Amino acid sequence: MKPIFDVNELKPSDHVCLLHRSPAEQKDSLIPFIKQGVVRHERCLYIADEVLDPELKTVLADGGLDLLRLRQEGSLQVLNRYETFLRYARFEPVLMLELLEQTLKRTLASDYDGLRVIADMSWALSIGCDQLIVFEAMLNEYLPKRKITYLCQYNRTRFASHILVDVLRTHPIAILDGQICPNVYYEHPGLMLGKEGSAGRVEWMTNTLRQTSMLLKGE
Amino acid sequence: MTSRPDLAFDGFGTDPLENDANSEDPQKINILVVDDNADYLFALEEVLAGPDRHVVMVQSGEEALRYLLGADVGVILLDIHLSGLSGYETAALIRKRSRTRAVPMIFVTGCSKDNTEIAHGYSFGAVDYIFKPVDPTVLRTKVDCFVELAKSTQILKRQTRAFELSEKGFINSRGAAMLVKEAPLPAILADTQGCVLHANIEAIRVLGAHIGPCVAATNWTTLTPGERWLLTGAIREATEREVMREICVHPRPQSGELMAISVSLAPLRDDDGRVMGVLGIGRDMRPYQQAMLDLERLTGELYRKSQELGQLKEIVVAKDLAIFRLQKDNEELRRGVRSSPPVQAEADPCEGERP
Repeated sequence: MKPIFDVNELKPSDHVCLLHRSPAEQKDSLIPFIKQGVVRHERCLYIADEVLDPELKTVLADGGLDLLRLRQEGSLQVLNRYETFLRYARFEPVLMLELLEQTLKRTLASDYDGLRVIADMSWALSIGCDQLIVFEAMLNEYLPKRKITYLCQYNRTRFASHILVDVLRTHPIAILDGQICPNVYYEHPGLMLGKEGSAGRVEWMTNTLRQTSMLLKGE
Repeated sequence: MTSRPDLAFDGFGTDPLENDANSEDPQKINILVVDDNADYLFALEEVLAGPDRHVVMVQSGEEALRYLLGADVGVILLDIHLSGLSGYETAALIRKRSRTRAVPMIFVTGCSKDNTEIAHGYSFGAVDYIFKPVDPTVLRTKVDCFVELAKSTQILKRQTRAFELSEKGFINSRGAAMLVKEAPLPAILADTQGCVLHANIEAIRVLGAHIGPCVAATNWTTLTPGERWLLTGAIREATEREVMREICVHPRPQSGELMAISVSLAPLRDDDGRVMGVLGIGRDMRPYQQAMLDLERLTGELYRKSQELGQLKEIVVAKDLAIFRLQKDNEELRRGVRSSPPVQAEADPCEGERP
């Protein structure tokens, strides 16, 4: 698989994590991500924690993103955690995937070519992160062959380091300091969800080593 | 097509079967003509007849009122000067009945065009006034307008009725409201958007239910914010995911007592299996909780008693064993089998006195 180094190259079924410390860092990735969605006629679904961070709104507007117009056009939809992850007053990965599937169907029925989800994952801090990593791993099983590009935003100053370790293990692509990084620490869902034993892990590690070697050689 | 309902005069000998068929045809609009002049009625038949209407002719106000008891009409043409009940009196009685209050009436008169009389007629609810001799085209045009209006009303009524009767409309209907209202437990009925459509007094009192949108912040005022959110989420899940949900909440109604209510939420489906809403029934769990506490207490007591019983049993067994050994030792000593005193005898204060 050819590695991606530009946000504009992201395509449906990609699962990306954006680790940031401030709205300014978010802006560098979010603006091209949303703009690219508009260009490709894909609907953007922004899942805010409770409301869209005013500071983020300002920096996005400063970056040339007219959120109001996009929302009026229907290209951008903003929901909060209570309407999505915690819709049924609890978090269950399967329910969220079900909701994603319904949203995708509605989006395609509205003549869009795909769905771009930008999720602020801070909701997990309010109820505990037990099921968070399970959800992230299940997304990697769910997304292939679906017209969804999924970008998870994690604030590095708020999440504990052990959670961020697992976050890096569950996202094939990571965005750090505005740079896209093919994630060598990514483990496929079989490993993360404990479906495969040590043999599977050895296989994954050797493959990763081979791929890294090829990358370094520039092949 | 014309007919006479239960007519008492001759001259309009149309086929009774045809008449029956017409009067039963719900699609046709009835036009009631009230005039004591048979010749005039005959003339009007030709003017007003049409495939979409059913012209009913009577000669007195009494007959008109009798007919209106059992039929809906689109428009009434009423002669002012009738024998018996006058046109005005008939009009006043028609307006008094709720069923016929809104039926448009056109007064017909062969007398003066005096403004005072016309105004008098309007005060009895006439929508129009026409004078004999009637211009057929004008009369036809005016009546056509009311027939069209009646047709539209009929269609609207039919659609409303169909909606009421359909499964989808059921949850909005008065029947559904009554069902919830009469429930002996706190009960709510919400639509597919989670909006509470009906709630009985108990649900309002105990759960603080409000008729309106599914918004946790403004609904369920007797619950804590956390439990409001839980209940709202459970209703949403029952409607959207079409699953049954059960949730226990702890409201504090205005009476101040803390309650424990288990709310069962079940999706309501129509004949095609589509969810049209969700029914929620609450049960007071305090008696069950008290019973569980009592059961727990009794189980604890039973356990303690059984422990005591076990200890007592051990003591009895130990004593039995000691007695048995003593008896055995004594027996052996008596036979001279054993020379040394038995070990058990150390504990026996009577050992030294034994032979």
